Amino acid sequence: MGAGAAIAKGFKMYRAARSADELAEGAVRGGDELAEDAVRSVDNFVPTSGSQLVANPYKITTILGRWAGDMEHIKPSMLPEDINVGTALGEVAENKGGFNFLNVPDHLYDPDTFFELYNKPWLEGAINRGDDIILATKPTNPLQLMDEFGSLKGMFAEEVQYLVQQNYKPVNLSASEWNTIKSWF
Amino acid sequence: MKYADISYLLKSKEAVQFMKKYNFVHYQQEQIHYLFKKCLFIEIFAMEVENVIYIDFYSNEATASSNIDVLLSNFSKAEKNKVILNYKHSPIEYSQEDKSQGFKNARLTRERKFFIYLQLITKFFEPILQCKDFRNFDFEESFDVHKNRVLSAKQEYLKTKKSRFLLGDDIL
Repeated sequence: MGAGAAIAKGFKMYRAARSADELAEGAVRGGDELAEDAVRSVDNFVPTSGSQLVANPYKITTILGRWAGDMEHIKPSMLPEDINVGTALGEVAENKGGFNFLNVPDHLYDPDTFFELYNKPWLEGAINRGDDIILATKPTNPLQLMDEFGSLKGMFAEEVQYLVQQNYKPVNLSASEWNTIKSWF
Repeated sequence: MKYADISYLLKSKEAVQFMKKYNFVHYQQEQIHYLFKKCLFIEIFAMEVENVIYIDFYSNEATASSNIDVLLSNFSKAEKNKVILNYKHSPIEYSQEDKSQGFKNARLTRERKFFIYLQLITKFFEPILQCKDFRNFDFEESFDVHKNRVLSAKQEYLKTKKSRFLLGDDIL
């Protein structure tokens, strides 16, 4: 079945995309009925993590990943309310059933302060709300996050490190994958 | 997020010599740079807001690809440190004004990393660059299913681009 056809199945696809852990935790309420069109998804792009980008209808779904190859292709599918949820740069404080995607205007960027001023508070908000976090880019090797010079490889690496510090597991990682990533920091 | 302008790095004397020595064809698509040759291509890019230079190797086998740091992990730390610690390079002239000191710092760090990577590639990746024993090289991510899928799509895309633009049929 192609990705488009699978996503067209709406809630069924949403449930299939979730891990066994999530189902066991009751994060997905199997007994609830939802209209197919009530579930948000990114239909035209499958990220390199291989995970379908399907929003949890009961929460906000925050998407993290490397810009090149993943986030740049996801951004066009985001609605205005999906951008910078819960921050002064966003349109809404809550976006239940929708996505949360960080997009800081270019004129606010500064490499020295970007993560602390924008990225970290945004991610902290996602964690405090209990968002589902999906990794569009799934690191399989620590050297995808750290370079030869011992530096974290950009914003995505900083985000992953922050998740590890908070011990907040993305929903599309297994417990084993998460433990492996935690061991890198 | 914006891609950083690294064109000036690819035009540097060191990069031009590197491409000439190993018969690479340079192709730029917006701010992403590709170095093509028979057995592989190298993708190079950076983001404005980061002090990182991304260098990814892709083979035409579609099963051997990896980022440079993973590839370099196959070699001795001591040997690599010799290259890194002995590196001497003065910042090269950049024609545009940096937006702020933060951007300048990030750019200069990327620049330094780029030239060190060039030296490391030349020292350690000779068999790859000469397209000798390419299949036998130990790529840690050789069997990563998702990466292969993405890579295949990317290769198809690049082949199309190649034929449409400037590259000859025997490049890949």
